[in-house]
Amino acid sequence: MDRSISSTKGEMVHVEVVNTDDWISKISNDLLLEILSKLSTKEAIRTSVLSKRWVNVWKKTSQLCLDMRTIANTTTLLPDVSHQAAKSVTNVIKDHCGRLEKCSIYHDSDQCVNGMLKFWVQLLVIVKHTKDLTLENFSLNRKRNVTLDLPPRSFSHPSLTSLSLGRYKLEAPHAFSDGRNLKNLKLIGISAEIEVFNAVLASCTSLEVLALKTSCISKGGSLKIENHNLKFLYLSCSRIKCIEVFSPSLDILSIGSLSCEIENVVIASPRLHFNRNYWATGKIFPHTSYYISCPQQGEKSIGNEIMMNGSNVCMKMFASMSVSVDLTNAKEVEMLKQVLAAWPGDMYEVEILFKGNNAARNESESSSVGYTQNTFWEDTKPFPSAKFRAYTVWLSNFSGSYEEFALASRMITQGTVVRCMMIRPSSVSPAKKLEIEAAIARLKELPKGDEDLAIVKF
Amino acid sequence: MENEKKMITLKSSDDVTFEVEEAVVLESQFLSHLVQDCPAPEHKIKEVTGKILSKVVEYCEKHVVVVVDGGDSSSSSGDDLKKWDDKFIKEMDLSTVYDLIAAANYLNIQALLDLMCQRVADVITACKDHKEIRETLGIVSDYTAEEEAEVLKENEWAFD
Repeated sequence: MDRSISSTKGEMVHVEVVNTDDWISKISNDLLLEILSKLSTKEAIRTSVLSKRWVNVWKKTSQLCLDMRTIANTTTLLPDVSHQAAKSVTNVIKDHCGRLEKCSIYHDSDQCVNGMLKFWVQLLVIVKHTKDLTLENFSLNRKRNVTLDLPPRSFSHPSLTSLSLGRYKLEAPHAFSDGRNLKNLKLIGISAEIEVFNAVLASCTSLEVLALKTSCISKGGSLKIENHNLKFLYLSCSRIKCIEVFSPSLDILSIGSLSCEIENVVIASPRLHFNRNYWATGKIFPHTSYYISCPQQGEKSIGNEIMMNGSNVCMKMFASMSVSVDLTNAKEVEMLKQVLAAWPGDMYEVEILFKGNNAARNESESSSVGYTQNTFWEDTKPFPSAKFRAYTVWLSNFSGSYEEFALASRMITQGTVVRCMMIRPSSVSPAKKLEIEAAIARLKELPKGDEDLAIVKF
Repeated sequence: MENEKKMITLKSSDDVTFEVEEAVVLESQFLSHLVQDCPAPEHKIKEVTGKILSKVVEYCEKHVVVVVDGGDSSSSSGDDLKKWDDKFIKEMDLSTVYDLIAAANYLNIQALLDLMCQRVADVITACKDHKEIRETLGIVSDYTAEEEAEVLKENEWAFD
């Protein structure tokens, strides 16, 4: 650490005195970079003029966000302005001299045509080994997307693990060939022939996160997603006839809208077994299916990270969700609570599927967390939060267990569920059936947070 | 027995002592290792003054309580914590902020480091131009007029 500033003098120094004593410039570069990491690229570059101490600090920031509209200070870029702004982008990338974790470029259609974008991609991927790259074309005045024309294997560098492309037309898949290092791919507002999409997905064999907001140029193709490591899949596809998904480890499937018939959607993903699929019933609410599972010690949960990421708001607005959870597992309950509590606005429908009831419980897991769990369900605070509301809650696979009853009764009495609670019992022996009936009857007797709430067994 | 909390004494560079629960110490990566490797009841932290250590202890005590509640904390306790953080930094002058950045870095308390860096970043963001940043942070420019013009020209767009 830099010890020069943690001197005992600190005690006597007041804020007025600080202004004549340049404390901040004595902080080590690493810590100045921590501060700069919380600024925009523009603000970070601005610090170069403060004093000689600062002139090169920004060049080692780990993230750059270069929006040509910000650089030109206008949203409509005339050719001259666009050219000048592109030059500024190039200068910043060339000036930067540290490790670059993430770089985002928002540009005009001109840079696709004149080769500038090709140059940036090569500079960022091959020279600077950027890990996370976002490219987005913001030009609006064209009926068609501008073509993204890059050399073969443009995205095959081992450092590049995350790629996001926005508003392009892809004429060929070759930029993606050898794309096995990509773990995270987002194609947002991309148009291409179905063969191109399928070839891109087939080249990117290691994908864990895939978001597709796409439109096919020729109507009626069949999209094939056979990426075996996929954990998260977002689909919003138009002009498509058929979708086949073979991804056995999928934890989250989120659907914005699909132009095809339900019978033409094949999703071979054993974990996602839900009764509700709103997008297929002609309703316009986006729907997300989420299989909550605890990551192994030390690993991070990709699913949880994505669900908690604020930038996915579009996926959640007015939306519905199906979620499967083991209520005896404290970590899974906490993840469920976080996701619901962070939901922006009211939820149209939520289906909670109790997954523990059909499979043998993992004994080691439930015994270690069991105690905290019992005290957890004795708690009377609103679940998941005082703000959260869902119009309809479906409880699937209900066995009447202590935890399930506690969850249901809290949602009823605290007004979390507004219109309707639908309870679907688990398929068990007749003896157990009576127990479940009794539990449902007791739920119906509870004082309701919302007077008009209906509780229905189905 | 299980309710008896292990207490640890921290001593600052100027010999101010703080008796804290072990859980509080665990907020700091550096101190957790220190406590594990050397089970003495008292630990001297030569790099941090009593004034700054008292702030560090205050922060860690507040944050540790919430984590223990953890399993059943409603989102409002998260909001409360944020309010507490806001108040914690608002009452602080910049020299304390810098000392806390150094201390949080040395003791390896990432959340505290983030909070303090955010505070400085907010100060920079609130300034309308580089002159105001200099004034607010007490930075004296050692550029000549020509050098400054050169730097301004290099990335002209950033200085509008």
